[in-house]
Amino acid sequence: MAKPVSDQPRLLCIDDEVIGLKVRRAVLERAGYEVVTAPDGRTGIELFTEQLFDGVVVDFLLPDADGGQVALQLRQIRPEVPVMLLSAYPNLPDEVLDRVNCSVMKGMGTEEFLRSVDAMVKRHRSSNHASR
Amino acid sequence: MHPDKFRRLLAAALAVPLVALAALGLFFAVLLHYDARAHGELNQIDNVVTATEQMQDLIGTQEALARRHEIAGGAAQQSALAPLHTITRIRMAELQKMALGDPRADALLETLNDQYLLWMGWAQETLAGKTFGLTIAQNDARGWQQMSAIHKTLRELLNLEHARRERQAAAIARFKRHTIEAIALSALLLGLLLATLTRQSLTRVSRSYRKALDEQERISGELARSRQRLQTTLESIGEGVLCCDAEGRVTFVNATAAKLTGWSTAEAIGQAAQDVFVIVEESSRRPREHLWSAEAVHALLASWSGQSLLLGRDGSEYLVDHSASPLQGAERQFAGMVLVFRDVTDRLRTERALQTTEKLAVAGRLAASIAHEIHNPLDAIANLHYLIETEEDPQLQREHLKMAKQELARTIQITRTMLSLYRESEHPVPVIMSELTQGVLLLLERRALQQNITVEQSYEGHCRIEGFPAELRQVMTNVLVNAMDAAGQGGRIQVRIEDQSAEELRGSGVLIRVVDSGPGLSSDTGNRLFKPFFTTKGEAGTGLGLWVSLGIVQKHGGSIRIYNSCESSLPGACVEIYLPARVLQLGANRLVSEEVHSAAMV
Repeated sequence: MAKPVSDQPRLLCIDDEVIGLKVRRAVLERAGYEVVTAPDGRTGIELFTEQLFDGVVVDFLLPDADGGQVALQLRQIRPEVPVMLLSAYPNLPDEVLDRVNCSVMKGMGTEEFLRSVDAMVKRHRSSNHASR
Repeated sequence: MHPDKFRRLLAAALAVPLVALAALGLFFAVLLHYDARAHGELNQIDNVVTATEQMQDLIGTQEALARRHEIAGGAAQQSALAPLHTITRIRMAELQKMALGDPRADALLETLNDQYLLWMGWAQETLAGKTFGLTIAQNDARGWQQMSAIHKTLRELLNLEHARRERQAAAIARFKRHTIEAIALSALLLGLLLATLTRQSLTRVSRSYRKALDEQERISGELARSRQRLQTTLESIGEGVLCCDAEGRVTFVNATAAKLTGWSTAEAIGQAAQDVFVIVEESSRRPREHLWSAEAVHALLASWSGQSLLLGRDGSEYLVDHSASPLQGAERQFAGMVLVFRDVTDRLRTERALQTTEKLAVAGRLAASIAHEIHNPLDAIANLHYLIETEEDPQLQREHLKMAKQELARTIQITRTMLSLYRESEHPVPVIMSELTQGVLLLLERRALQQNITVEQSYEGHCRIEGFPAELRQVMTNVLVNAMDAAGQGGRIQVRIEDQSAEELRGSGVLIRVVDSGPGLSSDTGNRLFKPFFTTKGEAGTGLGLWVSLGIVQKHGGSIRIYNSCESSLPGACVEIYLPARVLQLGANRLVSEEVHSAAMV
């Protein structure tokens, strides 16, 4: 498994909304992230197994599974990588929220979204540095 | 009592006196017969007496002739005596015949005959001058002796006959007395008997008559009571009842009808029915036309049936269901009409409130998936807005704007679809059921995705009907959401819509079939599926979905059947909805007997 080559944090975005994903990728790239996208849970998990990421942004509603189930599998593969759950639903059940590091509602605004991603990645990096 | 029985009873009452009188007549005839016989016997005795007396005279004459001979002597007396002698012999024989039957009289007659013959012998001898050696005096004394013996016998005979006559007369007198007594007694007895029997018969007849009269009274009392009961029932029922004659004049109005129309019974009777029962169409308030023609009874009844706004005389308004039935006369001719109507104002209000509730519940069920649908493009738009703001390359800006526009269009499409659920056209419009169903499925797509449900769709033909799209969308949403709930996680739903050609009992239209892979209907839910407030979903359902759907389908003139599918690959419930190509006028109201059109089979 290769280490991240640059300082650019790598993110995995899983969402079945084609336009939404495309725009989200553009926003994150503009903010200085390297973004890999997957249209469903299965592809996302495959990519996560093969590559290293500083964080995962997963949509709750996916064609093959819900974001909570995907997060659970990601945790089993690499528990240290933080997972953010993106959802249009305001009240997700606690059992789903327990499986992820943070959750953000769609439509909260781009700045808010970027702040949350930034905070998540930073926490991950600092803990990684601390552990090293 | 039966008239025949009455007649029999009267005949029996008359027969007894007739029979009794006949018996009495017979008795009298027998009495008369015996009386005549007794008198006959008496006459016979009289004849014997008379003959005996004549004999006495005859013998007396002969004696005198014989005496004269003593004085005069000679042959003249002898020749005079000979015929008398013959006559006496004849009479003697006659007398012997007459007196037949009495042994004593017979014996006396015998003796008399002998004595006479002895005397005759003496007289002839004497007249011939023979004296048998006796002296004249001795001879005479002998003659005298013989004659006195004859007289003695004659007297005995007469005495005997007199005694018989007396006995016979006494017997007759006794018989007469007894007869009179018997007649008096039998008359008395018969009178008593007749009186008793007649009294008994008459008592029986009068009792029967009284019984018949009582029965008559009881029946007429019962009739009056039953009439009273019917009257009370008609007065007490909640439906308004109005009757009119063949000319359309009101003949009866019950209390409810009086209350709803605002006409009192006394005022309404004799009025024209359309003046008392004034109705207009509910939405347009156009007066409803009434036909009144005894030749077209069906059209007449149809024009008086339906659902209308009833305008009361006092200004009140009621929404009423009304139906007319014909009254038939004795010769089955049209004799008038019975109009029954019911105030459905409250019921319709409740029904409409429930329909609104269900509409809101459908909205609630869809809200989450709709919010999700809208949230996704909105999120993208918000992100695009950020990108456009921070982007300096105009080419990229334009691209972002184009994408934002696309996402906005998508949002608008979703909200429009949602709005069309609740906005209804006034009149039926052309609807393509396949497109409508696809629109509904689009809204439910997220939900299906969430539960990982596969939806198979197949559409054949134009799938075109006339109808109210918002309501039909509500029906399809209900049916599809039910199917998804039944299919559950990872389940399967099959939606098939095809054109239906006209059959014997229904016109051409569209047949919609929705089958799920769920467990199917249990036997106890089958009968209650279409009842309001029946749900298998606990708190999650209102229990109004199918009830409202049925109302809508019936309004379109269609029908719903729900049964368990026979396909092994899809074993769950199958909902079959038939919608006619054109909305029928009759289907405008909810049918009372919902079960007829919504046969739920398990």
